[in-house]
Amino acid sequence: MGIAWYGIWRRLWEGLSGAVRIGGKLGPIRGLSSLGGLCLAVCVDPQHARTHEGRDHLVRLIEWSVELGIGTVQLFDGCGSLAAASEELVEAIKTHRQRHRRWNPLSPAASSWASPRADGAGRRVQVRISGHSGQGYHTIASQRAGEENWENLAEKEEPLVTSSDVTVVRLLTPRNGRKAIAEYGSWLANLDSFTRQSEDDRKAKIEEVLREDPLSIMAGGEPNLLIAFGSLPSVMGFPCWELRLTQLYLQRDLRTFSRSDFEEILLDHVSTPIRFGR
Amino acid sequence: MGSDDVILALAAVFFVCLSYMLFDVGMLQLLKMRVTLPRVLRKEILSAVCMRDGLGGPPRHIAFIMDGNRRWAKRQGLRATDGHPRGGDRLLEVLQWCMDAGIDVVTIYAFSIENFKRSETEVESIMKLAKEHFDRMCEDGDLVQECEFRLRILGDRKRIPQDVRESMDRAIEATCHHRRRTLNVCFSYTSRDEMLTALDMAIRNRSGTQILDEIEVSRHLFTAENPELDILIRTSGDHRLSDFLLWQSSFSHLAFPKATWPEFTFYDFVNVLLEYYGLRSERHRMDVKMNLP
Repeated sequence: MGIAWYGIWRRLWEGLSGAVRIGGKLGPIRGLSSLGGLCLAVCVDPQHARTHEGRDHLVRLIEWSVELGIGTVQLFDGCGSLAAASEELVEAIKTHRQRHRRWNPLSPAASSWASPRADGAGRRVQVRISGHSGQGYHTIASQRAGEENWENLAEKEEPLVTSSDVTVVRLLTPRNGRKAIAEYGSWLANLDSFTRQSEDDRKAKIEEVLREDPLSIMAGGEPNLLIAFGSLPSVMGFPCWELRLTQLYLQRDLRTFSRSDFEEILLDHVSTPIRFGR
Repeated sequence: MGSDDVILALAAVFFVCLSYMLFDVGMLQLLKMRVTLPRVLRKEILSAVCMRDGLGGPPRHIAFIMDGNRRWAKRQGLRATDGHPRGGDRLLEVLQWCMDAGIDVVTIYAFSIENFKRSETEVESIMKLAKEHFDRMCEDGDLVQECEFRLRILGDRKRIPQDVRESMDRAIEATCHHRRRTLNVCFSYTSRDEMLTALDMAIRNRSGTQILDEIEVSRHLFTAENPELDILIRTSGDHRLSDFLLWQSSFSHLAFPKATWPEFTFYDFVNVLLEYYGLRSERHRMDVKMNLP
């Protein structure tokens, strides 16, 4: 009972501090209610990726993303620890979701301004990781709407579900970055038709291949924003091709990163215009 | 040695330390006040920041996204295009700071392929300004020549107007004998175009059935002959790379000072350097503690 009251108090406090930090505006925040098309990238340094504590904080961040209706979350670390510990991560997500529903009967949304389904209860989470052979993305776990159990789909290829009630979590490694670009270079070099074209046509073909990503070895989309957690302000080797217009938020410590910090970043992102060079 | 001598020696040490502290505090206050410092003093400060023992020397390669010229002009009540000449003047000052700091390679994002989407008037005025700058670089008194920077132009030259291209070529020729420092001007450039060009060249230069790896692709980037990028600075507080040096900046220190480019001061520059060194040594201590490579 004490834990339940603590959970209620914590949610109230987060909501209040979030309201104060975002300028005291109470009421719907324009933009935060339509995050289904948003692709969020989260980048962590080895210090966070290799420890259980760091992964627990990442799971919390995933849960916030689910609650706010974010469409895609790309998780990256430069040593591939997260992808290597994908099973453990999936278990942690499952446990967190179950515990979350059991101990926090009130709506967990720190902001009542998020999407109507702010508690994320009806939302699916699909965790995907590129296969060991480097070919294609395999869904390793998926929880369907309204069901308690998680479906284990290890090593089974499944087309990406682009539905408004799914949050896809993609686990990325350095293999999805520069290595993938070089791999496509090798792939194209073996095509006779490629080498016989003009320079402009070759470059157009390379761009098309990197965009279409037929082998599913790239990051799987350009993130709208990237939150990097590390002692140095850098993107730590996140796949570079996709970072063209990504808004970067460089944070020091994942452990002290709160839900209101997260919402503040999202709010800043939706209110910042992109000029596209104009 | 009597007790009086010991007391005198201790007092001397105390006052010397106090004077260093006051000097540092005083300098910091001067920097915060954005007082225009004489060059001699700037050199001393940069030397103190970059060339202390144990820091590994000054950054070898620094890049700038010179954002905010138009916003600065609007705030001054000028036309948006009037911000670019001021930005050009600021660039020359920054090059001098980099030289004084011992930084050998400076890369700037002068004009993106995407910037061709701007109004014709603005594009023309930028091209005219660029041509003036490149023509000035051919003269002996120019700051780029004085700072002994070798000019390189990185980007898709086909899109650049003929007269600007000729001006660029003359400036490259006039500065080619400088070996120590390099100024990379990214003009008609995007990082994706650079990566496509590098990959295409790597494929064409591939021997037999050699498998391409990222090192081979890196060797064909426009900045292949330069050291790795240490610091990337984008002014105006916009936290994006905007298709600039995406490959090269994967592990670089990123800084996003809020000042627009014309307002980017020596204080802001030193602040970035202090942060770069401070975080690096903190990270090194942490890595040693965690036995990380």
